[in-house]
Amino acid sequence: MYFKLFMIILINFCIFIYSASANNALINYQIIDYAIPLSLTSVSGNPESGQKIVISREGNCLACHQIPNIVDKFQGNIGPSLAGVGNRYTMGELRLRLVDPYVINSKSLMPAFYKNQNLIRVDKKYTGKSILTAQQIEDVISWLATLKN
Amino acid sequence: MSFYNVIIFILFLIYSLNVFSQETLNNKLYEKPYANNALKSGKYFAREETRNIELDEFENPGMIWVERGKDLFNLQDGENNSSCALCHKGDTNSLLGVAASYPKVYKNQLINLEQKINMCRKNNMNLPKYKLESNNLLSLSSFVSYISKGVPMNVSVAGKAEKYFKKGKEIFYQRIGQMNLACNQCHDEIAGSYLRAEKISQGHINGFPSYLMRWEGIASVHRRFQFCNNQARAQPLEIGHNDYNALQLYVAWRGNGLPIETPSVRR
Repeated sequence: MYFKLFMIILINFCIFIYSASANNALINYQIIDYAIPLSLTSVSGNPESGQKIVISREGNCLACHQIPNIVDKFQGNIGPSLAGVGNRYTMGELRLRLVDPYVINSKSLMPAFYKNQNLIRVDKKYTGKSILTAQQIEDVISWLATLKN
Repeated sequence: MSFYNVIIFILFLIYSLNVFSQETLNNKLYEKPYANNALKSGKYFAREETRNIELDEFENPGMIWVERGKDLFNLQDGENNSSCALCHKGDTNSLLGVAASYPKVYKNQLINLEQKINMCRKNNMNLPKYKLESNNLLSLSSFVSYISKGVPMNVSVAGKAEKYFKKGKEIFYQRIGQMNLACNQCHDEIAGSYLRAEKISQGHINGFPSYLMRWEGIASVHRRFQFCNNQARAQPLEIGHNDYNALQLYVAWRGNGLPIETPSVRR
């Protein structure tokens, strides 16, 4: 009886420690009015490295989005075109769309780029990791903000 | 009307409602994303040059596996000097349409064509099983599928297969991996759209084993599933896994009616 109780407490404790440590990996953010108004980092985003992430396999944005500013024959058309996206959305709105698009559309095909939990059967290589780091998110949205018609 | 009559009436009402809801549930269970006349084989979505390679059997590199499979089919091997051809009477027509019915339940276990070939070798021919995904096994399954070229896919999901079908459907709709994607999100909803340079297909498997240019070789359905899992950054299962068989059954069923096109050619 006491042994069972002890085991349950122990398991709970382990889960708590595990989830706490996993949580610590990502920075907490606040969603206000379908946006994340505050930057995830203290260093402001660098649009140049943002563009590199967008084009490279790291961000892989062209897999689904067309970006007329980029010269590349093969651009996906699953998501909306990113032409003028800097006019349509504020930085905070762009940030939420990258960090967790499910807040806006729970059926979104776009992955949450800043999420490392409540995912199923994640490849060991990526377990506990988000697709992009907080700084990479800031870099990408700082470049997206420059896309104006 | 007596009190008992009322009770019986209410019980009957509950029972019939139950049956009704069960039926509507089952109707949903067997709802297909594509009507029969809207089914499109993967070759429809492939690039023209790839499609042309597939359609020309002299150019189609998958035919190398089919030819080798034919040799293996006739090869007499082991202590008993047995071969596939001896049992199947050297008449490959006896296997016409067989590939279209796999995966299938055999002795309470769902198996695919490759596993069936291995069972034949072990139980009927007293020969060692081929390694899954080995050249020899895929050559044989390519040949056996090729015999049924043009025969419409026709897997059964009734009876003992039903629980595997349900499991497969569940897997098809389950979001997985760091990319958090489910099969249906691409293959049911946006087939025809471009993912980078590739057109997304309806996700049918009537051309398997399929020659994949990226691997310069023939691949089984399970190996293709692994590749899909990798793309979603999900942990792949091993080839021959029960869950992959269940998924293969569901995917084959949703494409029932498409003619077998083995060996198909894809990028």
